[in-house]
Amino acid sequence: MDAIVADNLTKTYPGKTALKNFNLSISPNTIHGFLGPNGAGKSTTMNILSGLIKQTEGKAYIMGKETLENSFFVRRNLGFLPEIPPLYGDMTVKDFLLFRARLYFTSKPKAKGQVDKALEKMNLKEVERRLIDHLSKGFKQRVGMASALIFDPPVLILDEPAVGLDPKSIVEIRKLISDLREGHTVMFSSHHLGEVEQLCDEITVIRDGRLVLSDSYGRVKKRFAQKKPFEILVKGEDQVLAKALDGYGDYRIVRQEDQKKTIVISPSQEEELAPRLCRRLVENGVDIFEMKRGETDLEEIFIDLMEKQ
Amino acid sequence: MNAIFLLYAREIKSRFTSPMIYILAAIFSGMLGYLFFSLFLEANRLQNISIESAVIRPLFGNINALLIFIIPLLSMKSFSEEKRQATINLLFLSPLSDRQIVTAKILSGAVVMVFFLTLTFIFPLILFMSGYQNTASILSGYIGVFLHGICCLVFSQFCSSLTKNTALAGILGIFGLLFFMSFSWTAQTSQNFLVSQIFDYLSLGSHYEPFSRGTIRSYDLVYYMSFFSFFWFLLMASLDSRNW
Repeated sequence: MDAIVADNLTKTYPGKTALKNFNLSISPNTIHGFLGPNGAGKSTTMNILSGLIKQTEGKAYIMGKETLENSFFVRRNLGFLPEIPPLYGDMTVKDFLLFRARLYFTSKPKAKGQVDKALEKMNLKEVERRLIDHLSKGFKQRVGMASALIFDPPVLILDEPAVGLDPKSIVEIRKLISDLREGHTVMFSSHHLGEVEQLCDEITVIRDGRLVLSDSYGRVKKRFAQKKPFEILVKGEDQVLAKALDGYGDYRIVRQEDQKKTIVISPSQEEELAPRLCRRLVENGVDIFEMKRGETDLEEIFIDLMEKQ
Repeated sequence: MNAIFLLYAREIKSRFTSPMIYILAAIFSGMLGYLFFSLFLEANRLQNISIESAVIRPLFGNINALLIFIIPLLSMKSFSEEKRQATINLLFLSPLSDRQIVTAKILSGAVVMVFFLTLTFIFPLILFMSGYQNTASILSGYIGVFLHGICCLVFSQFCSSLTKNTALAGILGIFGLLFFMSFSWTAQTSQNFLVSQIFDYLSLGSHYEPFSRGTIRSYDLVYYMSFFSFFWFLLMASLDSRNW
């Protein structure tokens, strides 16, 4: 059973379609990165999944339960951190977290225990007696995270959790998200592609309210890597090379030193070509001295996807 | 019940730590104190008039009139501020039903209103010390003021739930309540008996007066309960409108 499912979600506002037939499945105990340019529909999707707004069409499921019909199940099993953390500025950090915890735990000692754990985990001990209104943006974001985690929900949705934080806090938030992998399903949106690359098992890319891609990051990387050109250092006649590389894609000789040539070939097929290519070159009497392929990073994948759209 | 109490306690703490409540309480007490003093002097001057008609009825009438301005000002932030700061989402994401949220907000508003009413207890106390003994009319007067205030409260909270703009919520509350009060003017000027009776019954201003005379009528109780229930229903619908 998937932890988070969006089934054909559509959300329309007067004069605008924010989300169109959007589908998504997130496996349990994974960290899922949710990417897209500004206004792509990320926050709308997250708000629908958390039950804050209602979709126009389609269904959303959290841990197998439909969100609209099982609102209280969702509230007890999903921690949501919206882009702007909702905090009561007139309360101290500790009082606010205790208020949040007591909404979930009737036992006061249990609630207090959860608050202490959250203060510890989010490094908020030093500001626990300060009014939330008087805290910096970074601390407010941490209080928001602590508030979302206070009842230890199995599913967490975090809308740009590291936005506006200083580098030290970003590292801490990333570590926290990474630590949540055990026993939690985390979906988070971010514009820091490096962050997503570093943390996520799966990624989803959305644009203009439509799904562009959703898969495990490993598979996405592999798929995009197969489109990267090979750079091969070979020794052989031009005609032989042309014959050997026929049907594998466009190639060009970029350097020539003595009899060795550096060729760059852009594969025409999206499959693992390296072994076949090597065999073909060797069979045709071409000596291979070096063969390499550029690394694919998420930034490249993201830009490629956005340009295609 | 625990959840209602938690939200109620938060609301109470937040309201009583705001300077707004004390500023309004000072204005409320000052104005009523001056009025009571004037009425009391006037009652002493006019020998052939009862304390009820010279002091008690005008006093309760003025308390009710002031509540029309005070309660919307005290309630304007209730939902609008939560909407503006998006903290309403915190409540919608918590295991609190809309009914629990509304109950806690109304309860805390009622406690604040009772706080304001306790400031007026000095007036009957002075009357009792001066020899006045009719506790029933004072008690029923306060019941009338409380019922009137609760209706103002639920209406003001409803107005607050309609907008993110706190000032607009306050203005809507005050003018809305004045609109309900104005029905009695329509009733007085109408030539048609039936229309006059309907408007008189619909007017918020026509129902507290019997209480200050020591009369509790089911006619008025039904009005207050209907008014309260109607705007409670609208307030719930306003919160639920996020799902529409």
